Amino acid sequence: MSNSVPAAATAVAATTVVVPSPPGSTEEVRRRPGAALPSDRYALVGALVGGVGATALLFRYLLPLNGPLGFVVCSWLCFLGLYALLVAQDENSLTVRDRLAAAVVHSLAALVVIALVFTIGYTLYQGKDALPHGNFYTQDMSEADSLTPLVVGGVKHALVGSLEQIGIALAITVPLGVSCAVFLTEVPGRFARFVRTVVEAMTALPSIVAGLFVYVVLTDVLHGKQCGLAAGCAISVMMLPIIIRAGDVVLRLVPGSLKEASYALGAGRLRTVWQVVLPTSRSGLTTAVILGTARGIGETSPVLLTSGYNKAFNADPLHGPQVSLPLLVFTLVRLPSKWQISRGFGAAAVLMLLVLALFLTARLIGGRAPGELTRRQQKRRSSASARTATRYVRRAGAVAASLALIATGVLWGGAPRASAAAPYVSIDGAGSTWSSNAMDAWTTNVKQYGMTVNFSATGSSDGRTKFKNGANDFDVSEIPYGITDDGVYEAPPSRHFAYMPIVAGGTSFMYNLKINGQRVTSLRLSPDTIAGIFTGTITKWNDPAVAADNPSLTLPARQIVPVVRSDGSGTTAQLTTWMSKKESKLWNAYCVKAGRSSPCGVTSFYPLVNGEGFQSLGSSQSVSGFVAQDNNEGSITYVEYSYAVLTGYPVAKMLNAAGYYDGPTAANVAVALTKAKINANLTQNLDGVYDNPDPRTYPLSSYSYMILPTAVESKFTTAKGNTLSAFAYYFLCQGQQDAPRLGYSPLPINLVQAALTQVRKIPGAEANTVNIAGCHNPTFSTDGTNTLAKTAPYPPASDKKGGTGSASGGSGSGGSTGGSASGGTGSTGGSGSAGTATGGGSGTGASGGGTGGAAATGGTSGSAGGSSGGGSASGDPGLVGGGGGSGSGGSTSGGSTVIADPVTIAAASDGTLQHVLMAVAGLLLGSIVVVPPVLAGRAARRRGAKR
Amino acid sequence: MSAELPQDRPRRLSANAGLGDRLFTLGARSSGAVVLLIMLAVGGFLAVQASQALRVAGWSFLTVQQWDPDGHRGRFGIAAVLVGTLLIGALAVLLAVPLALGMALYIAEYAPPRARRTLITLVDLMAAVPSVVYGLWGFFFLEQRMTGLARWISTWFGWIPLFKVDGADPHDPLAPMAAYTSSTFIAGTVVALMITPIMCSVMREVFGQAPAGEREAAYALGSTRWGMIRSVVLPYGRGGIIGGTMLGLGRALGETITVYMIISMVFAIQPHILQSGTSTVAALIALHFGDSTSFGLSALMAAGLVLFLMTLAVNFAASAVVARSRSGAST
Repeated sequence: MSNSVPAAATAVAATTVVVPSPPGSTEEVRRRPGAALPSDRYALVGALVGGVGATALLFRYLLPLNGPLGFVVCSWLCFLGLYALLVAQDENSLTVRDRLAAAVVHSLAALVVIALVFTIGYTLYQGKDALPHGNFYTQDMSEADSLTPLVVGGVKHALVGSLEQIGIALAITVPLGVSCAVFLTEVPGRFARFVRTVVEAMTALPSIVAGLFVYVVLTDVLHGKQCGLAAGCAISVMMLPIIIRAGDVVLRLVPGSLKEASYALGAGRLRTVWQVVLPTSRSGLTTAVILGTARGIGETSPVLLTSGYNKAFNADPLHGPQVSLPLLVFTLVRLPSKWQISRGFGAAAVLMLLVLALFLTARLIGGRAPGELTRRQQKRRSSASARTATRYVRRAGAVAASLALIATGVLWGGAPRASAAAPYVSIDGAGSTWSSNAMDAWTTNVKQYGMTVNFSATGSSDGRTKFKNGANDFDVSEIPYGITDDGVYEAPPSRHFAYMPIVAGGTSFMYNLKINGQRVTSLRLSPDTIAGIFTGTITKWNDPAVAADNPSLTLPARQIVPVVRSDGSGTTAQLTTWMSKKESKLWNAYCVKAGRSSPCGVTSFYPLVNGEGFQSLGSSQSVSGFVAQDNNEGSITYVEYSYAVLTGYPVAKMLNAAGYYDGPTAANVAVALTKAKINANLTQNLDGVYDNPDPRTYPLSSYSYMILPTAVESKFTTAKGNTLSAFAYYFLCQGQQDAPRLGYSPLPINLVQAALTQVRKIPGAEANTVNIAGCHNPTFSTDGTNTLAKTAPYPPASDKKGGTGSASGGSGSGGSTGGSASGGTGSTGGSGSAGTATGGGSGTGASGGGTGGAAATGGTSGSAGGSSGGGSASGDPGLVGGGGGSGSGGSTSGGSTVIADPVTIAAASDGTLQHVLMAVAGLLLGSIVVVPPVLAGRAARRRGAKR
Repeated sequence: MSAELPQDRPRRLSANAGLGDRLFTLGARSSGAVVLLIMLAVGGFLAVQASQALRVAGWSFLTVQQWDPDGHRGRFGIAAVLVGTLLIGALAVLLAVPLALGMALYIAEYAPPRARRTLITLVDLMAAVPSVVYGLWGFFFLEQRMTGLARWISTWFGWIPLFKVDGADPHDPLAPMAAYTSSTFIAGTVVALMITPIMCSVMREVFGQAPAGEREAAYALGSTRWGMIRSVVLPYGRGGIIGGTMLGLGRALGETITVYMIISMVFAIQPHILQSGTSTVAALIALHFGDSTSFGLSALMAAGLVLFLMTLAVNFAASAVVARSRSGAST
């Protein structure tokens, strides 16, 4: 935009040394009418005090208002009224209007400044956790996953990426932009006018469209390979018109008389431009470029489409994804981990500081009019000849050249060093957010072996499309190719590929619900209820169907807010596969309502009916982040269990075919998947899993897949194959040990064996190293069965359907893992609805699921434990054991305690505050009434005395 | 904005140009041609790519609300996203105009002369704050605090259709606050902050050029400062106010990341600005560029083309208004 450059240019006309100010310029000294009298100030202060006081009273007694915002707005209005009244005491109506307008203008300006300071301050303040760590500036993110604290990991890679991309953009836009601006001003004509019109038109180009343009060109030309160069090009397309227009404005301000003088001395056009026009407007042009840079470096949308996301340092803008600061911020803050969010804010603060630095530079260099010199320059100029000007230009050229040199140096120098250090080459993949937490941990862990694996969690559908286009070396997806989604058949790619299971897990239902201000952690849902919730037939938490599942909870009449995925998602596909098989009636009815055909079948794109109150967000991170916002009470979403573990929010236990409610723990998922039918190409048939009669089954269990290339084509090489196979071998064996900790379930031996066969098909795989013998997988046993499934604990009887789950008799003594000893003391808990437990409810003391609240006191955790609807199975680190210690007690307000009033009304501030406010308000009101007239009177007297 | 400066201009010389000059002219022309080519390539490419989808959809592209270009019935159109885009843009402009006007008047007329340059730099800085930073602020800070206000407005002014929130009973203390999040209102507020500096810069510049003689005349006739502003500065700067507003609108329509971070996408016309769920063209592209087939990409291109044409029209209208106004001559 031209917004800033003319700012530098406005003051221009008059400050030019050579030309006298043209008439009408801004530099004429403007009169500043009106000096403030003391009485004016008294009126102002009095009105201000009075406004606040009156508002305090209003808030207390009269208006249906609350909150600081309302208070400020109301005070302001009162202030305006009182101010008008006070001024009207001794001024005429014109003056009153003048004062009022001044007050309004001042407050609006203050509001803008406050908003700006606040936005910047907020970012810097939130970045305070990450910024003090030295490693934040010297490391990349390759060794930091969601569970890594801030002492590891940093933004070096993004910083370098940002600088390189903006360097590329500048290398394109500065020469082209400045020469085009020179063309527009110095070679006028019909063609120049046309170009100017087109350039002006292009300033309207939304940056996302510029990104889309480069993205599609890339897909066609480079097989969709995302890289730093592409991002640089996208930024150039966006910056070019900005710089041209700004340069045009600056160049047009060069006084004509200077040029005439040059021509008069016999200089040609070239000479005039080179020695007069450019040096004269140097400061303005530099400012224009710097401000354009500040805009370009902060642009996220063109980069989002073109640069790709990676965690490792990559100084080579030609190969492989190269993240930049804005994109890193955008990615990190949506992750379900406080560390990553802190890092995101830290990166935003770094970006902000970078922009600030650019601005300060612009301010130092720029703001001077064409030809206006600093004092030192003036001294020099007075003794120097015209050669000085040429030298200036040369120096500017040298700066540009050195920039280009740095860029090329980094380009040629940086890359080989990086690749020489490791025997592996870097590989890129994209796809599922369902399994991205596991992938994230694995890519972090293999860093120590020198492997660089870039995985961007952009959704399964996105991953499959990218793999098909040849843009990626591998893809992670929950569903295979060849599925008909909403009537459209997704054809397999033409390149050779194979499916390989990577990890198992449960698609879980994460929710945010409170009873009496305490978070519910023991919700149980039957399949029908789940389908009802996600098809809009069950809309309230106290719906009889939900209540029937949770006899021990007094559920509030709060509305259920189902949160679904808006992008193409494997998680959605998992849920809809299950719904289309087991809940087809509800699902098909819903689909028809949403305008799709029946039978609806599997889809990756959740259909939406308008006005049902569904929230629809773009990734696993977003939906779990939404539910995990304290405000969003009543919301429920479907995500991989991992997201609930990482955010520390509870998930619902789901009723299985055996009539037990089970959580998506590693053991329950492992048991469930013993009935999964594995097809010849290793894809899964989950029909048996949904109906698995084992009481330890979590019905919505499934595997996630990696789609591997099995031939050297579309940029896939044997070197890459080597890395990919080593990476695959790592995560199939050792990596599986991380699975339970992260909320996944490790693969059993038969699938690992089958997967290793697939790994051997990758070109470049070292077949002899890929064998089952060296595999340290926690599920392996001597007899070939899944250890995890064999040793999985059975659910407590209280979790049986009909077993009310009130767990009252349990006296909490059994408080297996979580509840620990403290559970024992809470033996009173059960008294309320004692006797309702059917299945000999002892020992059900509920590990509950404090979100890391390890320090729950005995009393509360006891009562909670005894009553929290049956707690979870033992042997598992708490159903919701957060990232920190395994959860201990302190879960819900138990069901057994009879809850008189489940409705919490967040009103009624406490008494003392009210009294203080009242006293203050009274004082203020008194002061409005008394002070201003007294002061005004005194002022009037003084005035009179002076006269 | 493209009008000529009122300054003196060099005379055209018809002398025989030397080799250097001819080379210079050639070089300048060719760089102009390169820029022209790039720009036309972007526009042309957009149009060509979009034509595939547009040919399939026909006029229904503008009337259909769903976005399902890859579905088997291929029903897709931008009626809903267009309405969402326009609503967010309109709301942002509505909120930003008083702010920008106030700030511009303050800088041009009220601020002490020494503070003026600092304030101008501040406003320029505000324009350069990365959009993702505004997004962070909107998502993590503003959203939680705005829901209360949204609820208050819909409680008391819900009888106005614009402020109605479906499925939320304001008198029910258990009604989910989620109904008020991710809405047009919140996105519009954040975008308003983003476009304020752009509008402010244009307005301030125009106000600063109001002729001193006319100001003096107003004062001499006994006008107060506000009287002078109303009778001299505002009429003189009307073109700048309108032009700046439209420039801001153009930027608001194309804003992507901030909006994408805040809203929850729905593909149905959502006229209730306080209610959760809306959609914009730019956010649609950001959401679906990855998981679209080549036809889906073409449809996204078509949506991008419509957005581009819209901002183009707005920008041209803005420059026309500014150029035709009294003050426009030197901006």
